[in-house]
Amino acid sequence: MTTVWLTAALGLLLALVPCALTCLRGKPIERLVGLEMAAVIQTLLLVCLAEAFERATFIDLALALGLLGFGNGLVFARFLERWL
Amino acid sequence: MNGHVLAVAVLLGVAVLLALLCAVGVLVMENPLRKLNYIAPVATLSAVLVTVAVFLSDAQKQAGLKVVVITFLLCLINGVVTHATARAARIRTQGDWRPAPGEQLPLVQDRAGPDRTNANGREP
Repeated sequence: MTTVWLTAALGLLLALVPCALTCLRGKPIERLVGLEMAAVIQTLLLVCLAEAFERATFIDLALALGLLGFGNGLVFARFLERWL
Repeated sequence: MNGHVLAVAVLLGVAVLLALLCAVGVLVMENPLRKLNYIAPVATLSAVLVTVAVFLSDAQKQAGLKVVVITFLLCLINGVVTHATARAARIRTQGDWRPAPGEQLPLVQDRAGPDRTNANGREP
């Protein structure tokens, strides 16, 4: 079962590459979209790692990341409206 | 490979494939509003698939409940953040999120009713 979860984590890690490329190029709003996508994928990645290594604390990290992704997205969107 | 492992593998495979496709979609789309559409499938479908996989593979109730909370948060938060980002994108390009006086927006146009804008083109 661990192998299945680790393979899924590897796949999600690969999905972060297009997000990183989006964050590295384009207009600021497009970079923000890449960042938001990366936050969602990273949350799922941490859940997969928690299951793979059977560490319940990683799930708390995923929960924290999900909540912080919310604030992060809102603050960046607010600043990108006019100031940045 | 027993039935449980196979089911978990299929669920995770679909979730990861969806995440990969949507990540590529975010990369290749030109318009930021089009890019935003690709976040939703990962935040909803992939998250639900991973949650079901956790429940199938894990006997720990506590971890399963936390994953349910994470999925619920992702589904709820994604809509709010997507809306805020789209609003920011429109303000950045148009100067205001509201439609300009002559702008053709079919859905808004149908529901708007009589024109209530003042000389500046904004509602009082």
